[in-house]
Amino acid sequence: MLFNTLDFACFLPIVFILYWFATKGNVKWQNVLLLIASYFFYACWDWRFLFLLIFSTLLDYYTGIKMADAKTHPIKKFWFWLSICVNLGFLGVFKYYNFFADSLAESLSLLGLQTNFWSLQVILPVGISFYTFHGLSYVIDIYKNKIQPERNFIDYSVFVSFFPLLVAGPIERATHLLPQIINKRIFNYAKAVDGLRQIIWGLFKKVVIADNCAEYANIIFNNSGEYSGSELLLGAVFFAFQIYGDFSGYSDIAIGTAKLFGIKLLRNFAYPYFSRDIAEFWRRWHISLTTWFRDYLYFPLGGSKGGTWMKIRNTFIIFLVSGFWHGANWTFIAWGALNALYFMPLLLFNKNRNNLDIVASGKFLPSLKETFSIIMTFSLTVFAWIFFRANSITHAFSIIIEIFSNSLLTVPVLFPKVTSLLILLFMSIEWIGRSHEFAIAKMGILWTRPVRWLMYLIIITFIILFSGKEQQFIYFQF
Amino acid sequence: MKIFLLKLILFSCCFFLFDKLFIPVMNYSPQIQKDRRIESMLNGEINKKLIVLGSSRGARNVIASGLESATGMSAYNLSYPGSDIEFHEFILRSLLKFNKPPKAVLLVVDDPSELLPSESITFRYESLYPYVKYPHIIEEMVRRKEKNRLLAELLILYRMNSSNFNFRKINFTPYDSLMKCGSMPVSFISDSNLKFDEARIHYNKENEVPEKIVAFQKLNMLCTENNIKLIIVFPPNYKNYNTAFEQRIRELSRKEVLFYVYNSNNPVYRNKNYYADENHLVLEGSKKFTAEIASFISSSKLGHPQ
Repeated sequence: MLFNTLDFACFLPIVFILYWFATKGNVKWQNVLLLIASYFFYACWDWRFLFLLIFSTLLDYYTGIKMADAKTHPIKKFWFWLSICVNLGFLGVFKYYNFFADSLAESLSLLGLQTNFWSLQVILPVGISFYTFHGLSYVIDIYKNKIQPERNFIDYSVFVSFFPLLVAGPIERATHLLPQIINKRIFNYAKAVDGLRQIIWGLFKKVVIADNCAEYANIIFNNSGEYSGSELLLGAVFFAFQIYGDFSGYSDIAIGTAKLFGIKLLRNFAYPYFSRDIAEFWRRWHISLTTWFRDYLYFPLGGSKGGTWMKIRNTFIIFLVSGFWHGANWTFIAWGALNALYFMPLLLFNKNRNNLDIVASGKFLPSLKETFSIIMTFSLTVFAWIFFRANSITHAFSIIIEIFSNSLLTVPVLFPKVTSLLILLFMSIEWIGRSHEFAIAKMGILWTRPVRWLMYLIIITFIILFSGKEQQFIYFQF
Repeated sequence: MKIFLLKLILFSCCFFLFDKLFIPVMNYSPQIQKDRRIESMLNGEINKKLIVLGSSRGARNVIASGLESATGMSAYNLSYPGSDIEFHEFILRSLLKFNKPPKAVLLVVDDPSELLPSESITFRYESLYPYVKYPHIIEEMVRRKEKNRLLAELLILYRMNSSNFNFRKINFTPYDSLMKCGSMPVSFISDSNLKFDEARIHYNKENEVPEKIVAFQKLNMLCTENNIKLIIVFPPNYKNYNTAFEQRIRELSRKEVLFYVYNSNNPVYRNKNYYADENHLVLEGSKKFTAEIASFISSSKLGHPQ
């Protein structure tokens, strides 16, 4: 069930009504309802993988309790590593087995050894990377005595499988979400309205921006040999907006939906394309994953405490793992490595925490220097997206070579004017609302109701009329 | 909570009324189209003896007026560039619903992508959106799961898409020179570096799209049921002829179907000056090819006006 479908438009109001009316505010029943709704939501994709989700939930729930109850450290450690190994084992089999088998076979064939590894015809269970990371953070936090285990299985299961975040995040922490699930939730009118606004804006990003950009990005990337450098560059720019609209749109719908149920999820995006350097970009892009890696990988590796060499090593590890998390393909690893390279100068000259504030805060337009920094950062990002979107490293290089050829100076034959205008409109609204959680969070709040409602009507009209060809959410494949 | 729900209901009512403001836009959409063949068809204005169906190869390579003058049978071209066999089947089904059945249908097939997955040959929804005011068009969109029936009946906006809001008169490209007879020949060479493609294309029927096969067979069946002679036309391309593709089409066709395969030994079809690009003839080439088809129709004893 996709967020931008009629099925979800029917599912959400039903769950909402039952949640607030049928349960009469009883948090236990609310959680039971949320769990049933979440499992139904997940089963709509493939009910068989529901068992995997339940098994993963049971495993972390049980090992969490066992760790807390362990009388000695070795026993605690045993349960900890059991959970880590099984979780990562599932991820490895479902997501990475074929990649490792194929890569090994290719490497051996270069040495003249012909091998035929057993290739698994496995389907990637939707959201496995996300719910595995939920579980991992929970288990690690218990192991490090940061939290106590949740002994109510229903409550814990809702933490893992709460439907708005189940398939593509934001990647939540037990410290943030579990207390909200356990405690009584009271309907808050302002939060619910805010949630609806965020859902509408998320749909606009996904349906109007991402899906329309996807149409052109797909044509250009899938037939890259037929296009000039200028058109390929255009394709990369369209992909940059596609992935941003798609993923941040999904996150907005997820966060907005959770607000309707009185739950606040972690913020996932903070206007990343207005970043002035790559470090700022990574503080604003997929925030829940970046901070997850920071807390559960970068810091345990020593972070930036151990001198320059350790900083460089750890940064590379983080970016490579982050790339690999996105998918079993060398293109993602190259994308991660490229971002690590971008990051290096900032890290080495201690400039990675230069831009912590909101760009051009309190001003209508950025300064020349800020404009230049934003354009430079965006260009670097677009360049890296080429690796992310290409089918292979060779494909990425063929695109890059063509972009840096004379054909870059030709006028693109394929230039979708309407989609370009929509991007311009979208970025202008994002710029105006850049100091808020989402672009239209405060837009029109002081206007009279008819005018404000007219704004909503116009946005909904855009969503309906400019719906491009329906595209799957990109991050579902991760 | 009650206030929240009440406001939601009130907003929904406002949206319902706001939506009705778009009725004039929906009704105006057909008027800005230069190609209004679909509307003519839906209004029952295409009562011809010969109908040409196909994609751009049908639209550009066959001049319906040429067929008409050579055979004496009234003819009309309902080929749509970029359309697939599912679209052709829809066009024929619609034609039969609102017009008198033709005597013969010429289906110009795309070698080799007629039944294969293709990005360039698809069901052309964008040709249908300007006519969403017609229930038949919405019905088809619902049938193909492009639209939800309930929402389409409830909301005007839901029926439309952004193309309905392009209020400028559409300027046709030189590719879209629509004749009165519905044909769209090109009169210029778009690929000056054209080289004859000698490659032998392997046709793998395992790659075929089941829905396209079903549509092809449905189109065959529609012709049989309505007593229409179906003539499947294999047009010239500036490349080697694909006999495996022809064989496959013959396999899937009903036995009463006639086939017209262009003469690959004819030097005209080896002369690049007769081609706009690898897959399409220029006007001069189209005239020659049309004349060949016309003589085939005449020799098939279909060429007597009734």
